[in-house]
This record gives sequence, C-alpha cells and structure tokens, in this order.
Amino acid sequence: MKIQEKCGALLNKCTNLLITSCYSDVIAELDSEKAILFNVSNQGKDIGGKLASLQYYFNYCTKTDLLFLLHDKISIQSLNAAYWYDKLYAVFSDEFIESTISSFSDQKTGMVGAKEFLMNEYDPSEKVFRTTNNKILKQLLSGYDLKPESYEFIAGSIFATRSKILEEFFKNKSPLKVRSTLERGNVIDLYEGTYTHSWERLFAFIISSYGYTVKGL
Amino acid sequence: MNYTLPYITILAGETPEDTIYHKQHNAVLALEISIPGCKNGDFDLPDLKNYNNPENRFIMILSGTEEIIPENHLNKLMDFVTMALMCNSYYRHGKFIPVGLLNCNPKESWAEIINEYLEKQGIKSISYYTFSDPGLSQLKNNEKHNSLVISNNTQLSAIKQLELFDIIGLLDRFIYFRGSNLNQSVELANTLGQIIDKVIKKDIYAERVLNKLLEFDKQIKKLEVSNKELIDEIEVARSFVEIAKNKYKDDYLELFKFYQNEYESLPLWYKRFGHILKVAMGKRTLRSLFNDNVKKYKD
Repeated sequence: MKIQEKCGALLNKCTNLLITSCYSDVIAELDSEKAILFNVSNQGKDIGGKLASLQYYFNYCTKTDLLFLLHDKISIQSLNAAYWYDKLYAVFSDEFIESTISSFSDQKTGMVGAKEFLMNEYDPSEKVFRTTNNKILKQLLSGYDLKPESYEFIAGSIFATRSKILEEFFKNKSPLKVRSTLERGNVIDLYEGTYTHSWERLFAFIISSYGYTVKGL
Repeated sequence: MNYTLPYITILAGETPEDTIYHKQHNAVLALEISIPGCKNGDFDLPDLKNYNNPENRFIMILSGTEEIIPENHLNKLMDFVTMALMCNSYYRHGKFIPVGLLNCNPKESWAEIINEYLEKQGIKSISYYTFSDPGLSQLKNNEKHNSLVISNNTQLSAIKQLELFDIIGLLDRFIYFRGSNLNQSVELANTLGQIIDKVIKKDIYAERVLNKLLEFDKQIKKLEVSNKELIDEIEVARSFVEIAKNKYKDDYLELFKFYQNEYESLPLWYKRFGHILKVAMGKRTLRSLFNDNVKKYKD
C-alpha cells in the first residue's frame, strides 16, 4: 500500500490503527497485525470511512492524544493526482512526522496538514463560502452551533488533530449518525454541494470553534 | 476431529483462546444480544474488540421477543449493530451479510427496524435467519432461512434417524450450538458432527458428492462476492468517465487558453531569448539549443 510505504514510521508508532475499505481484496492485501479492519459501504467517500473509524475509536479503543486521519487519496478526476498525493502526505512521511507531532507542543494547535492545502473559502464581505457547498456549510454550522474563529481547512482531508476536541464534539453525537447523512458512491461537488464535501471542511471548523488553530506545515 | 460438515457451525461463548476448532470447521462465533436487556438504560453491549480480530469470524444473533425500546437506547443498539456488521471479522455468507434472530417475534418487525438504520449507512444485502429453540424437529424442514439451535436440552439422539438426503439438505444452513460456555458449545458441535459424519461415511460416493457440493458452494460464494464488488467498481468507473468527459474538457480548455494568453502570444524573438535565459539559469542544456537529439531539460 502506498500509505504504508510513505508513512511507515507513523503506522509503526501509532497505538490504534483502524483501516476501512469498501473492497475485500484491498483488506486482504493488508498484512499489518496491528490493524483493526472494517469492511464499510461506499458512503461519504473517505469521510464516511473516517466517521466509522471514529465511532469505533470512541467506543472501543484506548484514547490517544493525537488522531491522524489519512486516506488513500486517489482522485482520478484530478489531472495531476500523483503530485497532490505527494504534497498531502509529505507532513506525515517518515522524514517529517516528528516535526509534525512536535507542532502540537503549541497548546493552541488543533489541526495540522500540508500547507499547500490550507484553504479558506470564506468571503467575509459577502458572508458566503466561495464553494458549491456554501448552503450546506451554513446549515451545518448553525445546526451544530459552531462559531469558528477562522474558516481555514485542510483540503483533501488528510490531517492530524487532537483527540480530545473530537471526543468533546461527538460526546452526545454519534459519528455514525453523521455518516448516515452523507451521499453514496463517488460523489463530487463540482456542480452542486454535498454533505460529504461539507464535512471535509467542517472538521477544521469544529477545531476552530473550540478555540484551536488549524496549521499548514 | 477432522470431518466434513455440510452446515455452518455457530458457537456460543466468549472469544476462544484455542482456535483449533474454529480453524478445522470454519466455525463462527455467536455475538448474542438480548433485546429485552436493551430496554433498560444501563444495558451492556459486548466489547467488539473481542470479536473483531483476524482469528475470529462472528455473526450477530439478536434474541428475545419484540419489546418497545426507548429511542435513545434503540439508537445505541443500532449503532452497535451497524458497527458490528462493518467489522472485517463479521461472517459474510457469499454476497449476503447474515443476521440471526433467535425467538424474535415477529421476525419482519425487527428486520424492518434494522434495515431502516442500515440503509442510511449504505449497508444492503442483509439476510435474516430465524433460529428457533428447540429446533431439531425442523431438520427436515428445508426452508432456507430457518436455522437450528442446539442447546444442552436438545435430544441429539433423534438426529440418528436422519438420512443422507436430510443431511445434504443442511448444506449451507446455520446450526447454532448454544452451550452455556464455549467448551460446552464445542462439545455439542462435536457430538452432532460425529453422528452426521457416520451417516455420510456409510456411503463413499455420498461423501464424495457432498465434498464436491461443498467445493462448488464455496466457489459460488467467492464468485458472488467478486461479482458484487465488480458491479460496484463498474459503477464508480462509470461516474469517473462522466467526470472525465466534462471536467477534463474544461481543464484542457482552461490550460490551453492560459498557454495561448501567457506564452503563445509573445513575439518569437522574446521566446527565443527566454530559452537562452533558461540555459544561463541552468534549467536547459546548452547543446539542446543546437541539437534536437540531446537531452533538453535537466531533471
């Protein structure tokens, strides 16, 4: 697996390694004894898999300080997917993982990802998000009563975050309930917004709403 | 004990230390949840960690009659059910995900409740199997989704009256050995296994036919799974083709326009001077200015 090659040090270091996939042959290829495997439905793309993992983590795993939410980024719709893949994963690669982890020594840091993907679509003058997901994002922010200090997020949803923030947010909410709102199959947000792509942004907005910062390295 | 069994063995009990029986007979561990227990707020659901490991295969069996469960407890139960079904160690019966209902009445009602939750999670292909206790009299009943429970109270001697065709009728069905612990469940499974093995071995051809049937059944299940996954993959591939048709076209036009405006519109002498600058900056080889057959750009 590509992630295993690039982020071997991180995978060896982690306390819990939860892996979700829609395909049994992908799961069969995995040889990590440490991995807890899930065969999930194709719903919510990587966000759906991550929410299923969070549900399991909150209920059955030893809690850790940090959570690394990664996925096998295969964006066939992107012209230069391999280039973006390298950029997204650089901060979690064997070379940079230690400095990524140490960036959390700043108590204000709540989320870390690749700086090339740190984005902000919010237009304060018009109070809108410059994305097809504007309407859904506003609905989710108000529904969860989130008031982020900043609207920065890590596009591509490959990031590290503090476990306690998500534990707090999901204390009275089930990640699976959120997952049930996500779209099925390989959805895109090129032409209209989706809950799946809105949640890609919302993870960072949750972090910011709890007073932490989202950092690009 | 090594013998051929035409049915799928489910064992009640905690996660085994010794998995020899599981490996020999492809036995499945039962994760039994009592529904009436879920009525109270303090119900304890099993720790999935004990079940979801590569050494195990498990199947969920919901037991008890239908009772009204408060919504928040039902949500908790259904989150558990969903998570259990997503575990990679959950037993899959070909392309179907089996869920057992033990003494659950009416069956349809629970299946409906569960399906409603699972559909929202994109989980389809659930197949419900009704287990009734005592179920030995049903052995001759070939209704596919009726499965058997064998407990300490079951009179196993009755099974000696079984004929070969009855045993072939068990092919692909579940038998739930519900001892009070895993050792007892294995004991029950062994007792039945030995009786059935004797009947099968009375006729060498019958044994061969049964083995062949089991082999075919295994192959069919494997093909069913890959067929289902290939259909999903085709669906994903189709959606990408649609994206490619529209988005790549847009990207190409945008890039082409950018190239035309930013570079192609410049005068020729300016572009040529630019190439000399590239050489001076070390980005292009000097020889490539005069010879098309040499390496042009440095990696």
